[in-house]
Order: sequence, then structure tokens, then C-alpha cells
Amino acid sequence: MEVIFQIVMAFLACIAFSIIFNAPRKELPFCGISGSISWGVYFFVNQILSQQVLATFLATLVVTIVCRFLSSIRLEPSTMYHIAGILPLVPGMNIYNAMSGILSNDLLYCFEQGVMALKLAAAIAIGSILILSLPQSMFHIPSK
Amino acid sequence: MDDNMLLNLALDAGEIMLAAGAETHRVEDTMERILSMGGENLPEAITFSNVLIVSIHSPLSGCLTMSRKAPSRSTDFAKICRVNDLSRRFTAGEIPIEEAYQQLYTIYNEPLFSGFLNILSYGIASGAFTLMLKGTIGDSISAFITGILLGLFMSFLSRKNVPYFLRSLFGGAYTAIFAILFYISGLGNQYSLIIVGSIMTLLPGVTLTNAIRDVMESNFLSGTSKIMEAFLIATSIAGGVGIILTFYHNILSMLGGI
Repeated sequence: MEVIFQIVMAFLACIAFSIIFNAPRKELPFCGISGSISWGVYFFVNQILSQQVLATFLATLVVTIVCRFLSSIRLEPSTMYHIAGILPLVPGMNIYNAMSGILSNDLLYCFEQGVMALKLAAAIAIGSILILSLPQSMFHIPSK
Repeated sequence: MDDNMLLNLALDAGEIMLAAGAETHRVEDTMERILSMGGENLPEAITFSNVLIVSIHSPLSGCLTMSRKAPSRSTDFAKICRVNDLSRRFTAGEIPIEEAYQQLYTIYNEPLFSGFLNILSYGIASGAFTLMLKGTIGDSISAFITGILLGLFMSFLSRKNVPYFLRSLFGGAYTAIFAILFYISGLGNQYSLIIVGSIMTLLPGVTLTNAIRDVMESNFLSGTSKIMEAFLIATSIAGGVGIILTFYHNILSMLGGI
């Protein structure tokens, strides 16, 4: 139940983001789907294994594959779906915590959270690079 | 086909795409595709962080090179898609160069902020993110209102041409002020969740994603400059939030002392 609620929220958030970035109106549902898939995978893996970095990495892999297929079906730049999908995974909470660690002079906490934010950003980068460097012909739907 | 006109068309298309936040590879690809319509002219298109250079070898007037500096960026997917579409139709020979010019001009002059819906989506994104971070309903409503106020503030700042890092700094501070006000009023349960949910709309996710793509296509110069930009924006936001939180804690301890 909780998972469904989270996925719906991710769908709404990513559609709202795409409106801010002025995505074409007819592509908005696909941006939302891409965002809810990434957050769904992240939430599911994080709940079972409670491994934040692994969950982010797997979510990035899945959502990058999905957005490359979407791009070949819809014939639009894949960046649009990719950005909408990755936005929920951006480690905003860790950056905030690192900053609040500096404010309260708790430098150990700041370092811990800052390194965590860097680890999550690296997980997103590696996950994207692995899928994005595959050739486009692998993401072609043959039925057309 | 007039070579100067072709160069100008390619530069215009590249400038719009770069300013709208397309990655370097896509910009170079589009410009080269447009240039290759001039026939056998050895087209070359190069893009660094915000510089565009195109050159062709024309049989009539020898080597021609043109360069341009692109203006500041604000992400706009609709423009990228439409220029992409236009360049495909132009290279397929469906529209003549004069009409392509006209259409690029209309794309260029389209305003970014489409008013009410845009401001509302700042609110929806902030509210939904706060719920995703396991905030309460009260937190979410506070973040929704904070997000709408932030959207109004950001569109005001970008109309006044405030530099991008000051925009992030003011945005962060503004968010923190409202989050603390909602926390004091009792609607919000945890001001940190309201702040994190609302600043998600300011965080440089697009810049970071494009930086990864640029580095991967071995456009290291553009990639590293984008990473610097993303880092600077994130630090500015954190700084803005931090200033307000320090004030708040100091005032609290002063009141406690009395």
C-alpha cells in the first residue's frame, strides 16, 4: 500500500518537474512514468535490503533502459525522460544534512553525510553511463 | 544555397538548443546535419561549454568559419524538441532555408514561463517530494505553499536578470524562512523536510545529468564546467538555507537566555 502511494507521489512530482522544464504537453505522462519507475525500484530495494547506494544504482539502471526505449518509441530526445527519471534520486536530503552538520559544528556528521551524497551521485553517474554507452540499435523495437 | 545563410542557420539552431540545456553531443550533431545540406563542403561543428564554432569549405568563397557565444541557460525541453524536429524536416528537404529561418525565429522568441501552471507545478513538486521523504500531511501542505511562493519568487528573479548563483542563494534563504514560519505556526512537523522538499526544484539535477553525458562523450571541457556549475549552485542553496537557520537558532538561544 505504502509503495503504491509513494509511486503515485513520484508520478505527480515528476510531471510537475517536467512542466517547470517546459516539456511538450503530450510527453508529460511518459516523464511521469519514468519518474515513478525509478522511485518504485529505489523504494522497493531500499526497503528489502536497506542499502541506499545499491538501490539508487539499480533504479538508475532500470530507468535509463526504460527512457532509451521510450525515446526510440516516441522519437524524442531521451534526455527529457532521463532527467525526469533521475530527479527523485538526487540526494537532496544528504546535502541538507551535511550543511546542517556544519552549522551545528558536528563535522563528523557533515563528512559522513557529504560522502554519502557523493556516493549516491557516483551511483547515478555510473548507472547512467553503463546504459547510455550501449549502441542505440539495442533499444530498437523491431515490430515497426 | 547561400553558404553564409547556412552557417547562420546552423548557429541559430545550435544557440537555441545550447541555451535550452541540450547536451554538447546533440548540439554538434544537429549543427553538422544542417551544414551538410550545403553539399560536399566538409562541415565541422564544435561546441565548448558556451561557445559555438561552425566552419564549411565553400567552392565559391573558400573556407568560412563563424563563432558565437551562447547566452545563459534555462532548461526548456520544448525548444530542444522543436529545433530537433525542425532540423530533421530541413535536412529531409521538406522546407526551404528561408522558412526554416522564420520558424527558428518564432521558436527563439517563445517565452519560457507559461504563467499559472508553471507556478502551480513548483508547489505540486515540493508537496509530493515532502511526502516521498515520509513527511506528514501538514509538512506537505506547508511545502506546497512554500513551493508556490518560491515559484513566484524565482520567476521574479529571473525576470530581473539576477546571476544564477545569487538566484540559488536567495531561493534557499527564502525557502528556509517560510519553512521555519510554517514550523512555528504548527502546521509543519519538521522544518528540515519542508526545506528539502522545496529546494528539490532548485537543485541542479539537469546540469549534473548533462555533465555526466558530456564526460561520457569525451567532451571533458563542457562536462567539467557543468560539474563546477552544479557544485556552485548546490553550495549556494545550502549557504542560503544555512544563513537563515543560523539566525533562527541564535534567536532561539537568545530568547532562551531571557
